[in-house]
Amino acid sequence: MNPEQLLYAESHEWVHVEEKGGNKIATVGITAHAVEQLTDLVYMELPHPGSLVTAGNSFGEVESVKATSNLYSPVTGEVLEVNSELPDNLDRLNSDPYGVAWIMKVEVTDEGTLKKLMDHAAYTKQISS
Amino acid sequence: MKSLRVFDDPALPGDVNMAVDQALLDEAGASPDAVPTLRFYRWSPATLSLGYFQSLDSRHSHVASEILNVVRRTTGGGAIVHDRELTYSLTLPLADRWAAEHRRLYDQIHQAILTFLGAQGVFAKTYQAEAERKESSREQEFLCFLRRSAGDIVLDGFKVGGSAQRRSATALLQHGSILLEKSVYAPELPGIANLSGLDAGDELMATAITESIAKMMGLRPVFLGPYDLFQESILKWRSSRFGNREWTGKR
Repeated sequence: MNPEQLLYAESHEWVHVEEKGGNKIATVGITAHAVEQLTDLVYMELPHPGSLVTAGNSFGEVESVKATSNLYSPVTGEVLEVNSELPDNLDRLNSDPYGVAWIMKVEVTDEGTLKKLMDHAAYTKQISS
Repeated sequence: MKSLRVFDDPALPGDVNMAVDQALLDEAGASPDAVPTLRFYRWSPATLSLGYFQSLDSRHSHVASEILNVVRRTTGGGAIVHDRELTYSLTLPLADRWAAEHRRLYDQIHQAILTFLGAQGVFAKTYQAEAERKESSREQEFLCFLRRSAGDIVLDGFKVGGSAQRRSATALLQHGSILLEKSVYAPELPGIANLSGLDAGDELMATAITESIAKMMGLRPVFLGPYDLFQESILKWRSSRFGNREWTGKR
């Protein structure tokens, strides 16, 4: 996916939104900047399909060699699918954070949460300030 | 000059110790301008703390510590037998420049510990890894002090100090442990006193490390004595997490 066409949360997750059958489906991942900050990831815990996530709340956790961090959901909705291959292939977050290293797909139930996300230019400004 | 709050707590139960650190993480995350806080503490009774991702069942792989109470930390890494050791936590808002330089913060705090030990004639060093191990904490040695990663404090080949960080949405917590002396609950781990003969006293060590860290961070230390345990936040975190069997056994 083209990073310039994605939406972003302050907590460094990216979102790609597509329409399917009248519903909004958000594909969620973490940005290259977040991967760089986390450094040397060794473990990732993902939510289960069917679980509910809330914008701004934790949906998973990652462990690096020295640090443990929460992953925060940028949208509110129901988890439809998770990238179950990712925890065993964390190097994909370094090589393709906006593509093959997507984390989860969420059916958005509160579209208002999408309106709070930033575009690429605003996110780039946030991480460079 | 900005302040560094410093708390020095007596020996407390494990769930209380972890609840205080969580409360301090919340305080640090309440405002981008929150004052960084350094806390030193001890444990009574002696307690086994599991790294965040370790399974509760894995404790049975270590017979010597099976009798101890167990608590789960929010930081990762291996299990620690908290008996003859000094523990510290440093909490600060993510907006603080040292949170952005979190790896340097880790190294600098270990340098402060090495400087203190060096002044006592004990020449420990940091472990230099040729290549960082990329294994989950669940796949490595059960005990933190039997593991090695870059930046660990080692003395005569034995690890005597280590730290780990937890990042929330708004704040950073760094936990660290300094192994002062061998514990009967982990007899395979010699401490600084066993390896060097140094018995400096943990209060002297805490004071010296505080001065080093405050200087390094450009902060003025404000010594506040023990943390006030009679706060609602402590009760909340004890009951919901650290004193909660379900939470401790969630893995």
